[in-house]
Amino acid sequence: MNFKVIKKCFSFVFFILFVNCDNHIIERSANDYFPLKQGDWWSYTNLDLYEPVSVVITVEALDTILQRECYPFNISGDFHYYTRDQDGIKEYIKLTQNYGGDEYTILQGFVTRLELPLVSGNRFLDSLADSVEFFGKWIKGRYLINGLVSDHQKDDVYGEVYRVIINLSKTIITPDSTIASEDYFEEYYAPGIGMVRFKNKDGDFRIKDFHIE
Amino acid sequence: MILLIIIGLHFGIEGGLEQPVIGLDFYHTSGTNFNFNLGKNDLIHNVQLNLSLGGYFYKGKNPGYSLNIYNCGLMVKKIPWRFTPFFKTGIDYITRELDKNREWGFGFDYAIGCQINFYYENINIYPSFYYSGITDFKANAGCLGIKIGVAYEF
Repeated sequence: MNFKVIKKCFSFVFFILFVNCDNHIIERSANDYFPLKQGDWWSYTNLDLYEPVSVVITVEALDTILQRECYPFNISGDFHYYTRDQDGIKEYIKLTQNYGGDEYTILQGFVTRLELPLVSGNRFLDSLADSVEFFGKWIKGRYLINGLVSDHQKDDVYGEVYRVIINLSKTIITPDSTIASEDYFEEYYAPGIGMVRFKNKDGDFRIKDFHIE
Repeated sequence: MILLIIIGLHFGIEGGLEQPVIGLDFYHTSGTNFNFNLGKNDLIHNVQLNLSLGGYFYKGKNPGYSLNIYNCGLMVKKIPWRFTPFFKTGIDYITRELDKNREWGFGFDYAIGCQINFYYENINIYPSFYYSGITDFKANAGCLGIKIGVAYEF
């Protein structure tokens, strides 16, 4: 066996593969795309020059809901509760209905907000459904989340960024009426940072500044 | 001529377990590996050179997720010592899969460790301890591992 030939072959193969390493699969495999620690914050701004809007997301101290430890996400004063488990990020959902000035809970629980790790083409679907009886009338509630990790692209600043498309559907059915709402948005996640961009009905928001503990 | 090539050749098989410690510990619990290797002793420098083919398979914390690395590498180790340091480097074809959705890419790996040699006639049995790293030249990840190998020397 001629080891000089082996060395030359290896050098050639290494060179070819060096060129092909450009898709950065280790960066996608070995980074956290959803940092979740108290004190993390992200600041976003939309691309509207005439009506600029800023959104700040701050992770507050741990809280416990339904016997699960959750991180409250303060999204410009609006609180969402997230927790991490082996499948990804779960969000606490609570649907309520107003009767006679009092708020009644129709359903509550945790649904998958983002399945981790992110892999292009992956779809995730989760739902909550429940019904309660009020004064002899049944009221049904349903919450459905449908997500797709559509693709990933190389960003010069943030690295390998995944795009996630999410469709939310909320329905409350009473004997007299059906209240349904649907929401559609896109989120872009970067390694070690989290969400760097999101698009919803209010506009296209990009990250301006952030801090990860 | 063929006899001269065969004399001094050895082939072996290795298998073991890995624990992700850098990077891969976000999404992976543990890994297994196996290798087939074929090599020859370089008696001028007192080293053994091995060509190896193998795979590293990591289970995800998410039960639907897995990371598989298929490797072709070159390993160098010192011959005559009971406790032998070794160094391995190679090229990898990498796939990651979640619920049948797959991504693939290439990477380079390297490993450095120590093996303990036990000889019985032409058979060499060697438990090893090592650190194994993998990179795509932008990010790095690494694991600590143990493996046991059996080699037959002609």
